[in-house]
Amino acid sequence: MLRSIIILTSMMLVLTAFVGMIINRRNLIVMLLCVEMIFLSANINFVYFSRFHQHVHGQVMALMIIVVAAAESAVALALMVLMYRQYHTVDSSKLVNIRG
Amino acid sequence: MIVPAIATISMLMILFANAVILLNHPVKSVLSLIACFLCASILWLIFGAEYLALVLIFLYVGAVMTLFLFMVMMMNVDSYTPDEQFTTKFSVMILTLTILVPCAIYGLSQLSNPSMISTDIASVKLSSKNESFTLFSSVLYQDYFWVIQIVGLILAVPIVLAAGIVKQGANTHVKQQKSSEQLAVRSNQRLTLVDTKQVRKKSC
Repeated sequence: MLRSIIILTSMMLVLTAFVGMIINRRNLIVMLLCVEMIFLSANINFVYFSRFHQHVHGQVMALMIIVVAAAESAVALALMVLMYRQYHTVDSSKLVNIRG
Repeated sequence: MIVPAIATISMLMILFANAVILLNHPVKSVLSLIACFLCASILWLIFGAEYLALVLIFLYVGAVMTLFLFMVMMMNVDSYTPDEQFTTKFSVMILTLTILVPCAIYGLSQLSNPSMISTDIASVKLSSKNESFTLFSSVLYQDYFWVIQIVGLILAVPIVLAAGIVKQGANTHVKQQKSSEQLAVRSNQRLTLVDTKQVRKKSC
């Protein structure tokens, strides 16, 4: 029962993130938030199954995912600041400079 | 007792996740994601992963999400007008979930094997919190010592890189004194004073 709840929760988080990426495809901030949600759902699974199998290795993996997600957020936010300086918007449809 | 609590927190988490994608204002979306992370940290506390729950609150909610919030607030996000209305967003979401939720239910029905239910976490005797924390620390700094060092490097390099990217972009908008260009200037490039009266006489 509990395992079903956790798997369903993480599955719903991933689905919500994918749907959010589709319906907010012009807004880079919300797209980045959706990526964070996908990382969170993966972490929930790692932590739950590490507890389920009585191994701590899953928690170590979750810690690494948190660190990588934080680094990814830092770089993505820096790029977004650059984009805002240049285009005065975070609309992804404005990024057409290298279109052939 | 533990199962209804986890189910409630999970439902709250899904609710906040939906708020992230449905709210039009990015500041509200970031705040909803913070609430989602807080629900996840409560779940991890229940599972006995106290260290990760604290890391999630301190590192993620306290640092990364605050950074998100500052960045979104500093940008002029009010000018962003979404191309799709709320009803369109909601209908797309319902359509997608209608397709994907039956797949999820089918997958969960495959999990309901009686031999596997008995080993569910509710029937597992929970170890004491100190024991879990000690075990995690020892595994982290014995088995995964070099991995942790590499992860620290992975965290440090992009932060320096991000600072460099932002600083490089800032230089194009700031007027700076360049001594090399000042020394390379020639006399004909300097400012020349023109007597306008004489110029007018010549033109007449």
